[in-house]
Amino acid sequence: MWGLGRWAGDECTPPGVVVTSLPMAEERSETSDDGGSRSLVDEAGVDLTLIRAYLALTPIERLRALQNMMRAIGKFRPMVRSK
Amino acid sequence: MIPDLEAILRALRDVEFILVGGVAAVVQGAPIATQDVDILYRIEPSNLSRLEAALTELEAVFRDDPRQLRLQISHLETKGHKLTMTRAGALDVLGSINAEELVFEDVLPHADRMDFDGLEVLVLRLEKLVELKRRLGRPKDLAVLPILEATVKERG
Repeated sequence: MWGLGRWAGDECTPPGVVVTSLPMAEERSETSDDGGSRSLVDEAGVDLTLIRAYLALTPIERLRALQNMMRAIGKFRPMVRSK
Repeated sequence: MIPDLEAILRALRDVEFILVGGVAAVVQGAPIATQDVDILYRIEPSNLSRLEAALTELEAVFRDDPRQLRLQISHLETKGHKLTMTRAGALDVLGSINAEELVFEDVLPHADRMDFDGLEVLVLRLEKLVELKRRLGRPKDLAVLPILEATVKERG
């Protein structure tokens, strides 16, 4: 899985994708009892930060993000043998 | 071959289909990874002709088949899963989904029309996708369920 927060705003941002409301670090963390910070996760352990970032995108931006990920990781199924 | 999901959707512009599977989840906000586009198409003669034309435009051939067979109407008339590779990436062409063999008309009430830069596409609603994946129960489906369910909750 791709971490939106890792590429948003840097040179890896997919062409055509405008990240408009990616949460800042302060917003996506909570302060723990000992003063440290922890990720915003739900009871199932899912990181909600990434989901909220995706939800901030439009459908076409999400499609392009996925497409860019496919291209970047190079794990798309190889083309069948050429003639 | 460079994956081009937009090219696949554009080629299917005249085809009656519902986007299902991982890509349907992603476009609704679920940050999951997937490697192919899954579509459930309407099995109806004129639609099959349009689908065949779209698959020809995409240069689709049966995936994992060394003969590189192109899809014909006779293939598309069945409810089976046709796994293809196109010039724009992997495309799974489904006549039905799940063990219940749900066809286009069964799923249509659970689909919403979404806009992709002026291109309107029917997409299986995330809540229904969660239900179907839970029923399928395959490890790869169960693995993404927590993310899909959390996305449904976050959308409110």
